[in-house]
Amino acid sequence: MRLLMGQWGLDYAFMVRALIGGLLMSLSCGLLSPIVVMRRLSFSADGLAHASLGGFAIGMVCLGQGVTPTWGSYGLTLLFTCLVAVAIAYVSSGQRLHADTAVGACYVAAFSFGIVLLSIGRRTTSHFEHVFFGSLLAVNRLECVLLAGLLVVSLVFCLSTWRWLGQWTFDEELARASGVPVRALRYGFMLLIASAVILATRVVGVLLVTAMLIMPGAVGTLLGRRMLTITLWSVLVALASTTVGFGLSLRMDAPPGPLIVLTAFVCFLAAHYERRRRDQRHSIGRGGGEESVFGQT
Amino acid sequence: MPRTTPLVRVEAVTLDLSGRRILEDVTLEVGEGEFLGLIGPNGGGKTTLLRVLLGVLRPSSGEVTWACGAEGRSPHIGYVPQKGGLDRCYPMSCREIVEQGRLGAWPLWGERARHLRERANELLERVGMSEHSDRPFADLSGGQQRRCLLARSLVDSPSVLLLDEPTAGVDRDGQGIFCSILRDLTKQGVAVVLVSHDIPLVTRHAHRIACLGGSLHWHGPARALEQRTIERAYCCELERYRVEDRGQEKWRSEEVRVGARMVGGGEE
Repeated sequence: MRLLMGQWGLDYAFMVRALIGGLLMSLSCGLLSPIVVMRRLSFSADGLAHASLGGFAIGMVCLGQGVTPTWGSYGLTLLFTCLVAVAIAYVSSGQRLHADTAVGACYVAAFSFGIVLLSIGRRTTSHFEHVFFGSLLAVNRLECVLLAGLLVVSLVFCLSTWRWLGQWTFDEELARASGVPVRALRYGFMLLIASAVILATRVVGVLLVTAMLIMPGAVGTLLGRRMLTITLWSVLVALASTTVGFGLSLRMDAPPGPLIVLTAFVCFLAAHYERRRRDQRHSIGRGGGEESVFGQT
Repeated sequence: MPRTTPLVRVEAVTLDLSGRRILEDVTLEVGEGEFLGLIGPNGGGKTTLLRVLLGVLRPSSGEVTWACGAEGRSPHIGYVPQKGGLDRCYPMSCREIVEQGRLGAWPLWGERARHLRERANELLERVGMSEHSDRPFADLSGGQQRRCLLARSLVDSPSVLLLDEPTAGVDRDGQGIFCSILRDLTKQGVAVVLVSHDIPLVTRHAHRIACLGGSLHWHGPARALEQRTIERAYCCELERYRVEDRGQEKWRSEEVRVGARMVGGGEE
């Protein structure tokens, strides 16, 4: 055990914090990911990740701080990203615009705002590599606490609205007709995504955080047929990707963020293959020629 | 059918959407065990009226009053929407979709989950879909999806069932199953509101018919519906013919569809 811990570098406190932070992030993202995928919010998640850059810029310029986040900068980033999330939810709730158009309009504005602010504040973007690709090994105690808080909030949200989430992912209009508080659910979920994006940025970075909100859920939807099994698969894949990616980064001396995402992608490919195989078997069992979710098999 | 206790009363409801008047001064009521058929041309406000009943749309004026049950709660409403193409990648199985019809937010475990599963299986069998219960919902045909949605709407034992063109795209067997289920439900006291362009089907099964074209053209017992009323609503000539062997009168629905296209409101 001690040998294993030594091999993983867990003798060091910062390594333990990194692993704990990564696993906490995986659990939160694994829980939220199936809803993101089934509700088709992947682009929204990506948009919020980019928009959070504007929030980080506000933190750096207004608080005169470096790239290492503090309570103040996290607060400002969260506030800014949540505002963008509310704007996206509000604009896309009308009948006149598709959600992706609303996301496209809001996130580029937030991203541009961040760049302009950095230019005015004479901050260079050279240190933004941490923000873009994450710095898991630099996760501090504050971030572990925040990630644990996010996990608790995500768990409470998902458990208390479980059946509503299922109805909402199937059809928003039908859910509303069944008495599901769709508007509150949409705003609540977008705020949760915004928080997950900001905190997960430290682990995998702004550019890769979307992967952790999409790939586990994608694997779950490929392998599961029920809300519960889809979510379990998603959480399992998120945890496995983080653990394996973290281990590989130690072995290869490479940044953990991209390796975590690549591991998740391998899981996605494997799930895709398994699903194709399952569909073909099912189709042969029924006499063949039936259309599957992948089209004609 | 004798008049029963009204479950829902729509009183002088007017609704404007995006500056256009969709419903004007509509007044009607539906009682326990009553089967109301809603007919009318496209753009006549039938789906909109259902959405008002569901509480999804709020009327500009007038009001919708639901009778409260013994526990002081509004009655449960089952709803089968007018569905277009559904997401081909949606992963849930047919049974899971039916189980989703259960109201409430908490996950169900143990005995309650088993009970819900049995209820879903029973309903899937009732709509003739038991052999497809484990297939992904997105893989089903349009007609099969509608049967599945009917089962979903019944899972919470509603006292009012609102159906928006549920038989569109459903084969003859499926239509027969639909109608027999609706008849059974009305016998059990469930109020049914059916929107359909299939006038022969509506006149054959509904107790009362409301003909809607923005305002309420006509509202009364199905037997009293006259040819010229439909012709006026649909703005077309309608050929009525008699089925000799059963002594029943019918209208050719083909003609009605032509009329509906002539009025041409597009999607409601």
